[in-house]
Order: sequence, then C-alpha cells, then structure tokens
Amino acid sequence: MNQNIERIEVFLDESKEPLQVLTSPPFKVTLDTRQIPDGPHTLRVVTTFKGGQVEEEIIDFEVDNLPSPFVDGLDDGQQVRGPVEFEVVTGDYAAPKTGGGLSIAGAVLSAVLVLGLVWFYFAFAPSAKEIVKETGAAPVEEAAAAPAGAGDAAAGKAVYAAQCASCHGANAEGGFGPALAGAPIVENADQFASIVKNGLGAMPPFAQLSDQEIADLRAYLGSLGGGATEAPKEEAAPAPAAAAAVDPAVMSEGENLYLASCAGCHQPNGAGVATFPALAGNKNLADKDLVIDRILSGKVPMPGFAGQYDDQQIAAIATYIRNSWGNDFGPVAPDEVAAKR
Amino acid sequence: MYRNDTVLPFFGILFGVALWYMAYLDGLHIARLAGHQPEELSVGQLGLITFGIVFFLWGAIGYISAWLEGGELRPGREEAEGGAAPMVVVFVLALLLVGLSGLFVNAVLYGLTEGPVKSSFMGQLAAAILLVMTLLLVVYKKFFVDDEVLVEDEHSEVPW
Repeated sequence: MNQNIERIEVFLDESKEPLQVLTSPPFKVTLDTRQIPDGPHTLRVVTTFKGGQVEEEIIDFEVDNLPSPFVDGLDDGQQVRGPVEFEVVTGDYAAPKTGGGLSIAGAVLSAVLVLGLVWFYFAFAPSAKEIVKETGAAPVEEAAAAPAGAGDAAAGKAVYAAQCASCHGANAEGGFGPALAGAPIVENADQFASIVKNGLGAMPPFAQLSDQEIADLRAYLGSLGGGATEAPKEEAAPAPAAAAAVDPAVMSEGENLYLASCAGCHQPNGAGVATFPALAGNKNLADKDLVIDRILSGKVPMPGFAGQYDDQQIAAIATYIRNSWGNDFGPVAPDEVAAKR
Repeated sequence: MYRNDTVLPFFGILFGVALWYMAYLDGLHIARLAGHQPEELSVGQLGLITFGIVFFLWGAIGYISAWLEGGELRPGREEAEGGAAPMVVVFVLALLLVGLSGLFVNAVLYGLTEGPVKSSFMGQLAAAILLVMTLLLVVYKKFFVDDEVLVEDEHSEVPW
C-alpha cells in the first residue's frame, strides 16, 4: 500500500460533491446503480498525495437496470405469412435467479458415475458374463478344445481301425504284429510316435498320420489297459436300425472306408468340426447326386476320391453316410456312381 | 417437390426391399435347380443385396433428413425444442449404449479366457452399438441443436 496517499475522492459525473472520500485503506467504494438513471456515466477518482500532488483517473461506464423489452418469435427482417404469434419478453435483472440445482460439473460427474457403473456392471459382473455365456458362446468342439498333446480316444479308435487293426488285431490283442493293449511302448509318447512314423522291423512307416492322430491313437491304446480284449462300445451306434433297407455288408464296408478317409475331417460320429460340415442330420445328403459328386470331385478344401476308390467303394461310403447317425436317406448303387463319373 | 420431400426416399426404400426380396427368390430358384440349399450366396444374390442396401440407406437418409429438418425448408432460424421427454430418451439411450459396450467388452474377455464366442453375436452387438449411437445423434440434433436455414441458389442434384 502506498503510504504517500493522503486521500482519495470519488466523483460521479459532473458532481462537485465527492461521492465518497477515502483516507485509509481499504479504499472500497459502494455505488448503488439503482439510485442513478440508466445510461452512460463517468466515474472520476481524484487521488491526493502527501506532497500535494494530485492524480485524476476517469472511467466511463453504462448503467442498464431497466432493459428494453425483447421480442421473441419475430426476428428483424424475417419473412412471415398468415397469423404470427410472438411474445414480448421483459427481463427483470433485479429478480433473484431461479433454478440452479445441479452445476455443470456436478451433472457431468454424476453422469460419468452412473454410466460408468452401468458399463462396469455389464463388462465385469458375473451375471453379465452369464448373459454372454448363454447367448454368445459358440459350441465348443471336443477335438478343437483338447490340448494338442492330449489325444482323443474315440478319434484314436477310428485311426486304429483304419491303419493298425489288420496287423495288431481288432482290439489290439495282437496278431501278425505284437499286442498293443497295455504294452509299455504306449506309455512313452516320443518312442511311440517315432515307431508309428518311421516303422519298425516288419511294420511299415505311417508318415501320413498327423501328430494329433498319433496322440489320439496313443490315448485309445492307453484306454484299453493291460490285456484288454474288448474295445469300448461307445461307438457302436452307427446305423443298422436306421438303415433297414440297406445291405449291412455295404454299410460295414462303407464304415471302414469312411473311418479311413473321411473321419479325419467329418469326425467318426459325423458331427464335423470347425469348417468341416457335419454329416449327421445334414439334409443336403438327401440329394444323391450331390453326395456322389462331392465324394468323386471334392470341394476345396476337401479332396476328390474318384481316383482312389472304385464305384462300389464310393457307393458304400455314400450309403454309409446317408444312413448313419440318424440319417435315413436310403442306399446308393454303384451304377449311380458310374453314371456320374 | 421440396428438397426434403419423402417421395424419392419412399421409392428408395421400396426398391431396396424389392431387391432384397429378389435376392431371396433367386435363392429359392437356385435351391430348386440344385436340389438342395446351397451353402453360399450366388454372385447374383450378392449384387442384388448390395444394391438393395444402397437403395435402402439412400431412402433412410432421406426420411431422417425430412424428420430432422422438416419437409419444406423455410429461411430463418429455428430454436431447438428441448424438453424433458427427449432428455429422458437421451438418458435411456446412453444407458443402453454403455450397457451394450460393456457387454461387448465382456464378450471379448469371455472369448479370451473361457472359449469361443459366436462371431454373429459379436457382430450383432457391434451393430446394436452403432445403431444406438446413431439414434442418440439423431435425437440430439432434433431436440437440442438450433437450426438456421439460409437462402441460396440450388446447386445440388441430390434431392435433399
């Protein structure tokens, strides 16, 4: 604070009498603008210092306590037609402010809080997870879900029947080759895989089998246990009842061929996997021509089998898939296959 | 015909629906010829559906414009109506939006931790989120944004 100030006089407009004289701090002035008319005014602040020096400051301002009425609904230069309704609004600046309530910050904060809580609930609550599980979860395929190292005994049985049973016996009890049920070699995954892939002694290599198939095979043999003479019967379902009009011998031949060439993708139970379509309950199998064409020519990524199997064998496969797993579409004759070649 | 007329949008939507129906009939015809239901759409069906979508969107945009701005544009300023009901609608839509997006995150996490989630489910969730966002924008524009129509020469050939 400047100690040299002797006094400060505040004058309004041209008045000779000061509005207020201030001699000591705080130099605060109160001016009630309702006591003076609306319009331009001048405030003159004259400061007198102890040495007699005088400094004058002039401030222009405008008082607007009684605002002019405002027309709402009709603008300057606006084109109008027919009856026009508008309102003359007069503001009362002196009236206390109404409303208020929530400040903008409060509104934003509460909105973020409420919406955030809802978001959090749907993102992380266990009950919301149930919603996703029930409506959105894709059916999990057993084969796809199993970790690569663990084999599927059911799939292994199919591989075994197609590739190994002729030498090692239908139930791995041994024959031309040694018994595998409960054999110690089954316990050692690496050695087992090596023998299957490279062959051993009189046994030829089976390099065409994938790691997964070998794992399945091992799982199947492991499931037989020591000295097993009987394979698990869970796969006994295919067809005879459904295919009364179908020759059981053809069905049996078809099943063997199916397990050898088709089951890898379409699965031994015809359920399909991933993008390989299910054959069980597939209505397209009713179309005999489609079935024969597809087996003969394939369709990317499925290979054709025209060069691999003769008419009799393809007819057997078609008959088998059309009359298994609940399908009941009747047999396919070798002549029909020959006609499509 | 005014700029925001609904005549052209009406025919846009009509053509869109007609093209979709043609694609459906095409599918039936192909299935009858083939003797079974094909696993994929034919090229012809894809073309019909594509143009169906284009016409449908064209018409929908026209209808939304007519609703937002009125059928006939008159020069002048137009104050937003505001009001409590649109406010409630906005709040409900906002709740729906955060709920759906939370569910989307939940589905992503579920897919990562527990097992596969149907891609159709994810697609429908995403579509629902976009649709709700669109509705929010439309309601906001209609009830909370002031509008001003200026007079100017016709430049555009597009009817809205």
